[in-house]
Amino acid sequence: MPLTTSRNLRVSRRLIGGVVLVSLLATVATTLLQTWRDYRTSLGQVQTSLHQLRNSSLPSLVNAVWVADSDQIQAQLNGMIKQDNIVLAQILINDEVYWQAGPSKLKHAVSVEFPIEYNYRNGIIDMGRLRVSASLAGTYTQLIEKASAILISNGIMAFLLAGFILIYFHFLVSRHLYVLLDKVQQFRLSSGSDESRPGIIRVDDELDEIAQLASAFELMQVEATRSYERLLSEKDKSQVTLASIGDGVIVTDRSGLIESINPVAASLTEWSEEKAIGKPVAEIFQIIDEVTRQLDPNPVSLALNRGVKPRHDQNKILVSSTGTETAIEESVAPIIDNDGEIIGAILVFHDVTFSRNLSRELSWQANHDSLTGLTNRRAFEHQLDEAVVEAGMRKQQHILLFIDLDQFKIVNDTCGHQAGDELLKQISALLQNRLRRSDLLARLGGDEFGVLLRDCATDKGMEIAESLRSIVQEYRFGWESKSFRVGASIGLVEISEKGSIRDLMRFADLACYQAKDGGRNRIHVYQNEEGEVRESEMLWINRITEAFENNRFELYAQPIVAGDTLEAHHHEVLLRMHLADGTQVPPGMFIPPAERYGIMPSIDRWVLRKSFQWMEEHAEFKPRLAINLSGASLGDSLFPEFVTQLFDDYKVSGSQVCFEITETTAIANLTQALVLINLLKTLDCSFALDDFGSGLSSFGYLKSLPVDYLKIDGSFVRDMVEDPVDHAMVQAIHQVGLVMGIESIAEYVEDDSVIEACRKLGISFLQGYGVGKPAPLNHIFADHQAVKVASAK
Amino acid sequence: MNSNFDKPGTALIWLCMLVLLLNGLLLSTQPKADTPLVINTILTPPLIDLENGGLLDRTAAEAFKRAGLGIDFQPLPAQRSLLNLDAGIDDGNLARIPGLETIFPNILMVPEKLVDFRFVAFTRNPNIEVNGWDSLQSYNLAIIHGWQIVEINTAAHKNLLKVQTAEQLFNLLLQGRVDLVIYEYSMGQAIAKALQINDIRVLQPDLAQRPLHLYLHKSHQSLVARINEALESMKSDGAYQKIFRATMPLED
Repeated sequence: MPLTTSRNLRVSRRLIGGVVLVSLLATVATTLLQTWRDYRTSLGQVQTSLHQLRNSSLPSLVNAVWVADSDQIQAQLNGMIKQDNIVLAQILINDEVYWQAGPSKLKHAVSVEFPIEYNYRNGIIDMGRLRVSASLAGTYTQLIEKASAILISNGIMAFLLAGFILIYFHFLVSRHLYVLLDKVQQFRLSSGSDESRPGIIRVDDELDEIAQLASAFELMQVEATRSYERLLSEKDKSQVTLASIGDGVIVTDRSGLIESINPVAASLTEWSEEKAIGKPVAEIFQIIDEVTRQLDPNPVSLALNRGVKPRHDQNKILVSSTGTETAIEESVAPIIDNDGEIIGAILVFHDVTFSRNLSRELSWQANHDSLTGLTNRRAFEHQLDEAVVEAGMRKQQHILLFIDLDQFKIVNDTCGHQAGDELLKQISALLQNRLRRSDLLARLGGDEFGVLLRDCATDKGMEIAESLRSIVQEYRFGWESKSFRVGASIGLVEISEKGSIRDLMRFADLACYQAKDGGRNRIHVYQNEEGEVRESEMLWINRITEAFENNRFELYAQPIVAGDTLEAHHHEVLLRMHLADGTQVPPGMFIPPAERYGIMPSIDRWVLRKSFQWMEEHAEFKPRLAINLSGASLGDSLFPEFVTQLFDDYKVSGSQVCFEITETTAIANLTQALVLINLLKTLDCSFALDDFGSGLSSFGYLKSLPVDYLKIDGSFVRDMVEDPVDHAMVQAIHQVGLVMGIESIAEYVEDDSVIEACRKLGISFLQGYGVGKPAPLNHIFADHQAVKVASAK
Repeated sequence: MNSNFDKPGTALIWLCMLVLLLNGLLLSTQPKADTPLVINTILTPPLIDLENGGLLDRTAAEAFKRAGLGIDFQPLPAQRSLLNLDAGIDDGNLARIPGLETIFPNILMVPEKLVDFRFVAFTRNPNIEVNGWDSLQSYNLAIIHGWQIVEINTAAHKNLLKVQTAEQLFNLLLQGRVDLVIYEYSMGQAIAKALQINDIRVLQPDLAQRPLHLYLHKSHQSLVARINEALESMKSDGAYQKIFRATMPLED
């Protein structure tokens, strides 16, 4: 085949280039080597001539230097530089030039130095050095000329050789490669018969390397065709698979153009396969965010550009070509070839409308109250938590309202739960209408509602709270011809960055409670905890006063039984108070404020009088009562007189009465206590030291307090079976009592094991739920009275 | 474990050896009489006569002897004698005019004068008369290389020959190659006599007259005072005068 210019002769060009380059390098290298050798030879000759000077001129020069004959020395140096190549001769003494012939500055020169030594008195004297320099300028000129000649001749040879190789290479290799090239270019993969394949490549009859290459190509053609057929078969299977799966699948190329789309994808996008193929995927697959309704960036583009799978979001909606929206979940993966290059992307998605609706409903139910549809307590507290954080970050204030419906119980009790539920629904709607869009109303449980007023000053919060209160107050709930009025007690708390959710809810609850306590259907703004407590105590004082006025105190009694027989020996009088609504209040609620506000003496007197009255009324049973005295009564100088008067007023003997004073009270008011005890003992009254052991006072006080009973503090008794220390304490107190002739009473005896333990210690009396619960005082002898009345009849 | 120092006798021997060693080291730093100082010289009889005894070599030998020093003379060419002294190759020079220490930094002059050195012109021509350095200009002149005062005063002279030895100098005169030679008065006469130059004339007045001194290398600074003292003592006790009379021909 002739050499044509249309062929790309890169291999030939590289071959020639290589040959020329190698030849040039070899030529340059050999030239340099030859030049170097010539240079060494010339240098050797110059150095030899320099050394010859040593023999010829140095001896006479030594003599001239010995006698320091400058003229003679200079004459000899001048003689030296007249010899061939020698251009400079110097005598150096202590490295300084003393005599010199020839120019100081030299180019291309080589120098040698010889010592100038003189044999003097059996020793050698170093008088200096002779330095002679020879010029190499002529040598260099010769070397350059020689090197140029070698380079030129070798260069010509290299070019001739390269030309020959090019022609011979073409004859042997290139022309056959072109034949192969043509055949391979004509080769097309197809699944048809063998006739459609390109003909067998014939290069030459001889089986040289090129011919073997041709055969290998031929084999490769056959293999490639078979592989192609297998691939076609696999492709058919893949397409059938894709067509039959339930997910939508779209495959794109590197630039995001659709290469294939399966029927499900076509159906969901409402694009036909024919129209979709070749189009940008962003045009076919458009998704929006379910919440924001904003168009989402196409996930395929992200995968193609960044080579990573985009984050899998769950709130995506696919918008089809006709605008139909379908909730989907999609995943995208870049397709990466063996070299790590992205060559396309595969997008898989499926319809999740059903599961998303289900999940949404579950989520709604988890966060909402099913009756009213309002946010529930859990979700409300979550929002409240975020509001607290936000308040800290943005320096905003929010308001928390805690609403408790008044009179709801009446509706519920009189008309049933259905009515109550209906009332709650209607009230919820009423409240919701009065709130701003940013506010959150929640049902916290029962008839309690919470409101979060976001970014709200206290004044505005009060305004809104008042509006809520008034709308509830004005509202009339009708049910089966009945009409009810309800009210709302509202606690208001400012939300700043401080405080936990639990605290906030507690404060709001407390404030609401204050609103209720303050007369219901009102708003109470939470101040601070201490203030609330103080306010609460004031409330209790009012209630105690009210209870006095309305006779709402009631006496209870709890039996104190003999340790061996468990029969009641006497009773301890206990005080209960009833609120206006009938709620019974335990003494722990009202005694502390009463003590702080100095009402205890009045209470003590009331209890004493009522107890004496009761004892007189039940004289036939010879009741014995233990009555508690407060520290304030001990300190009351008129108290002994009051007691004496009681004995005068009622037919009660001192032996029926036992006064209980707590250990800490007695010790705090020791002098007054002794006076009172000694006085009342003359009336045959007995005394018990209450809660003994709780103050951890010294047993030494017992010597000075002439009491009859020690009431061992319940905290030791309760756990004495399990706790050996408590057991030892009880035992110790009892033992001390025994020695001093004081009988002990174990409090808080709650079960049989404690009873048994006390019996083993020999404790005289027991008190507690295990041996007798408190009951109204009037009930003590009720059974006996009933029997008595019946028998009288 | 046994040790050489276990025995008192062995330790004593070691101590003695150490003392001897230290003593040897200390003594070696002092110049000794049996290590003669090498004193080079450029002069000729009658001032220096190493075979028969000249004025200066005998004086120096006696002075060194008095100072407790040995002496060894080394004749050298004029310039070389100064170079060797300055380089410390030789220990001294006998003898030179004052002021050379300003040219050669490593040499020291012994202050006591040895003798006056008279620079005079010698000729065979009965018609030549000179009076001072400038009057030499019109004559062919020969001098000894390395005689500083002569070289300085004849530096501008056009017909000047420099030779290394007095024999060369007076041979030039004998062979009529030069009109005048400049040399020392007494030494010149001795050489002329030896060369049998009978028509020699010593031209008067003297061209210059300078005292001659012994020079030492600066490493021998400590010896300067001792030698100077010895020279003074020789002059005061008549030893010097005795040597002078024995070695120097009587003046005309």
